[in-house]
Amino acid sequence: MNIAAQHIVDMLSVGGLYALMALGIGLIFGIMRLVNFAHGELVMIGGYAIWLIADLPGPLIVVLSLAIVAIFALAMERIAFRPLRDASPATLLVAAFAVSYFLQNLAMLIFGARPKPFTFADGLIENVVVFGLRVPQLQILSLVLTILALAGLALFLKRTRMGVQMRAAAQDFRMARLVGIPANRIIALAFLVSGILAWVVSLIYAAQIGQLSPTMGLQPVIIGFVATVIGGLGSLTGAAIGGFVVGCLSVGLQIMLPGDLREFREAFLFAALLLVLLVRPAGIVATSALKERV
Amino acid sequence: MPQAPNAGAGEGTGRLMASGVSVSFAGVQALQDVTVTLAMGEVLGLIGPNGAGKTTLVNVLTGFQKSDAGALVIDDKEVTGWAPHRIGRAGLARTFQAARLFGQMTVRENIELAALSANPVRSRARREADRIIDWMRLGDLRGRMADALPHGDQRRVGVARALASSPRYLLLDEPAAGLNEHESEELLAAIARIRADFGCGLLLIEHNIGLIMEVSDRIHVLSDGRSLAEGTPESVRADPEVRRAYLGTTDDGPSVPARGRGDDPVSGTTVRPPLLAVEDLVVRHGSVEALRGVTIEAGVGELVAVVGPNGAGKTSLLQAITALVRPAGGRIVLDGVSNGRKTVEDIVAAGVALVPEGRQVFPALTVAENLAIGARDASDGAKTIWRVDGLLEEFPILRERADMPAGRLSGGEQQQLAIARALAGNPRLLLLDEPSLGLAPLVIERVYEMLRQIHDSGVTILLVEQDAARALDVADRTYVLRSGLVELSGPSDAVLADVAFDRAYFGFPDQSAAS
Amino acid sequence: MGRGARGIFVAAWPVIVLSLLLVAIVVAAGYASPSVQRVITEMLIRVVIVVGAYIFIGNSGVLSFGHVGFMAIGAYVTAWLTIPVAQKPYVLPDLPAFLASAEWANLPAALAAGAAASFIALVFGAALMRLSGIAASIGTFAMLVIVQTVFSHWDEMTGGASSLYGLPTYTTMTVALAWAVVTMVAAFAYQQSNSGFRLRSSREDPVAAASFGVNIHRERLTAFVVSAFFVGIGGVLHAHFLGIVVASSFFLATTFLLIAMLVIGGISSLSGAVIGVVVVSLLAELLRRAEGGIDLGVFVIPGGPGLREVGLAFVMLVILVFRPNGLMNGREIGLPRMVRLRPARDGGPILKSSESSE
Repeated sequence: MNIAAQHIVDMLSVGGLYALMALGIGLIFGIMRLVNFAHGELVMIGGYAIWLIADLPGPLIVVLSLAIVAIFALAMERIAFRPLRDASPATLLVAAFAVSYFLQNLAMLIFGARPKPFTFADGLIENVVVFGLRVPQLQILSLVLTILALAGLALFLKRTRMGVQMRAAAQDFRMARLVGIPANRIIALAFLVSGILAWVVSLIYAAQIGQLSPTMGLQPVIIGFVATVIGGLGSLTGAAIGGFVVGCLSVGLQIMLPGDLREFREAFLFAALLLVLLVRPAGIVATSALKERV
Repeated sequence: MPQAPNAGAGEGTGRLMASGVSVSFAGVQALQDVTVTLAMGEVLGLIGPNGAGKTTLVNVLTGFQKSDAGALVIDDKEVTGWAPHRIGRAGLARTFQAARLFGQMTVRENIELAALSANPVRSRARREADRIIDWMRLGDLRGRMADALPHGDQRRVGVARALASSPRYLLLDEPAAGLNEHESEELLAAIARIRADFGCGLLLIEHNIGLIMEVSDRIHVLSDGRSLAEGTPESVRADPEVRRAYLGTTDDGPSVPARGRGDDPVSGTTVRPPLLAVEDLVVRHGSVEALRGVTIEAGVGELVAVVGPNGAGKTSLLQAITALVRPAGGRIVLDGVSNGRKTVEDIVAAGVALVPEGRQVFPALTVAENLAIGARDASDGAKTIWRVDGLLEEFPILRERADMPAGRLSGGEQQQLAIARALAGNPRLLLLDEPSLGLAPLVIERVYEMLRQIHDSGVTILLVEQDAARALDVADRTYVLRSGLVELSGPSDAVLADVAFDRAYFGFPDQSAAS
Repeated sequence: MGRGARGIFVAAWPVIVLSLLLVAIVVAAGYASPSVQRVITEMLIRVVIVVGAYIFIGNSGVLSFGHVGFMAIGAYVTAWLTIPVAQKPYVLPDLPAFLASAEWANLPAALAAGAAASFIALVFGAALMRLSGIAASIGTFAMLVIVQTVFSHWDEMTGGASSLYGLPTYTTMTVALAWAVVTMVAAFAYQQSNSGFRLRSSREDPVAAASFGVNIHRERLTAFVVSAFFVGIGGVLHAHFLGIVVASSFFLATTFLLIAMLVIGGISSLSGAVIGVVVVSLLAELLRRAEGGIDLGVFVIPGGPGLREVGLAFVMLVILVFRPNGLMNGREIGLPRMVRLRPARDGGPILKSSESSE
């Protein structure tokens, strides 16, 4: 019983993290058909930003690291993606791959390839008992942060004018322009929001793995991609669902695989996801984003 | 004359038949129990107003769309549900509206590829391609890259490509779209030669009704997804149902409403200062010339209709006005200021709102959100008339469904929402693209009633319609657009009364010339 | 027949020129230092890999991030087959008996390794090739992760994350050149084949291609399998060049290099693929030397690991923005002083993805 509850908590927290990742990627794809590889590097930048300014007071760390990630998110749109706005999705994908690689190796150049310890969360490894469950503090904090971020995003998208505009733009960018939503501003805003999401992921993810490396964004971004494809490219709801599906599957495999196969978990995970795509090539929430017009 | 390749057509006894085909998309019935047959050696014309289901039928025939019911048979072989490439090999070839050549391949390679589908031995396919090239007199273009060709040549290569696959049945999708008079005549001649030299059955889908009537043995008319009529060109032309399907239904003919029209009874030009002036506008989509020098004006407070069959360039006109496409020539002047290099955002800010074809509401946003998103105060200090609350009063059905995702509204409700969304921007100029498309008569009634009210409130309206009767009924002035040119214009009642109207709209050849 | 010897010569001209170019480089390098020869050998191995990947990516227009996985398969299979029996107990003590006792000659081992890569391509491709455009590209990524995970954790077969050593180092400049030429000829032959012809038409317009009898799924799968063979061979050459195999070397860095070479050279022509390898190898070598730091007199650009990659990524972005069809602009090297009927083309999208993006 307790174990089952523990598993559910695990699935929710992992799934939530993946959903945050998938939403950040899905938002950009919906609006400009860009599969943003470099989203993972925003996570990496968030980690290093905190590490760099670790000696400042807490609130300042939060504000400054967020600002740094946001600036990078906006800058990559302005410098790399805006000149390519009319390019095909495949060209955009290659460009995003290049941006990702550029930032990864820039970090390598500046900070070196060796991982840096990320020790902020070390005080949080102790278990606390909640509703009869022994849960690490860090997991509780992660879960709370994830829920706050998801709720915040939902509120922003539902309740604010800009949020509604952004959803509209993600559904039909051209029509959105025709009802007076300015293209440049809404794209910049989308990158800003995806930057904030990446920053939240970086807090949680860096604390969980306990170290920083230039390539740390890779794992989450690949998971995020697959989650958006599984959920249905072009749908924000789909991205969130896809994140949770991948999270549950990942935790489920961890539980169910026998010990000696556990280290192959990732292979099983991706193979399972490919199978899902075979059954539903357009994802769980199919949109017209990928539909061929004859 | 080069020798005609007697492509594997063989004896002329086969038949292509689609029977009882039904297709629905998300609850909308696109085709209902449609049966079409095409014999070898025959030319069948497929016509129907926009939204009639022609494209869906073509997609079913070519295997790109699965039908919910019905069977597809090619020469006694049941091919229902086959993938497109298998249907292609079974003897059905096609051309495309937008040519769809293999852009970065030479003309010869384009044709050779098609020949390969009938003949997997490469050297034979190449010989066949060369024969077709000679037959179509494309020799000069043989080594040219397909995407570097002008539009007319792309069309010819498209036809050659289809012929190279030795089809028993050939489907020509809008072959005359974007062609000038001379090229259209060449096309007619080519169709006659294809039939004589290849003996295949030809299915011709075409908006240029004049042209299709001239070459077809039989005409099949689709309307609202159903077969409306089938018969000889003469019988179809005489059929009042067909005329009504295109021009719209009014029981007692267009009536001139008493109000709102008086200031300038008969002259063809506006006395009011023009809010919108389109001068000599040329629009190209790739190599297709959609508009070839169109001049249109709309005075402040006027309701101007632009009618014409699909393919006339109506949507291109609206795209140019809203800066979605850049004109290739001419200019657009809005309230005395030339559009020049303005962006879509600038145009919207200047007080232009569009109700697009097919509504295009944001399906996952609620009704209220759809409205809120377009809301803005009137520009240039004009009075802000429409507020979201007021609009919800104005459209009670929308208030009822305010929290429902717009995608779940019916077509008519979506159309009302699209209009309300545009009004929420307090536009000075309201553009509507085929607002009656796909709606039931009663709903169309309601939409047009709404247009009258908006007109009365002083908003300038440019209405683009295929349903000419309704548009003319409500508009102050009307332009008839066909093949990218204004064929006729003037006060609406004068236009409708004009004997030249049918010719202008349909492009029927003069009776004297035809016989 | 449609064309005689002259016709074939004209059509094969790019392969002849490119082969001569590589031969000339090798001959020149014969007079240079061993370190230069190693650089050239590496470049020739990359020609095999990039041209191999081009067979699929270039002709289909579908971007693949997974091809480096085929390199890994090639490298490991040749390792299993060629590491001397005497050494195997030290390197891979848990290897199954039939592999532990195997010691194949180099060429059969290479062919078997390529075939193994092809087989895996067939399995994955059967699923992936059904997806369209962007989804397929992301799917190939999943494939790369799967291959990477398996090889880096399959302790009894791969030694896990540690490296396999003891492979005969037979990849000399000449061997690499021979395979590079073979791969180019094969790529050219595929391009000219019915399958390649049909696949290229589907790259230009999938809907029209299907209408003219092209089974896109089958042609893509064919190219994927052929392509995997040569990329697998590339992995073999790579393994026998270094003498060791490490799983982690077949991941993102190599994928990036592969994509960068294709994009910079121009993704849709064989000449573009080869020129991309030559140019990027040159650039990478220059940047590698600069990793010690560049002294510009006025100021010094600090060096360090990563500079090469940063520079390459930057060049790739610049190419994407300013010359989206790559250096070769989608064309093959032309015949000298012959009037070619090909008109100039403006740069369209570098890849035609199969979905419309409105």
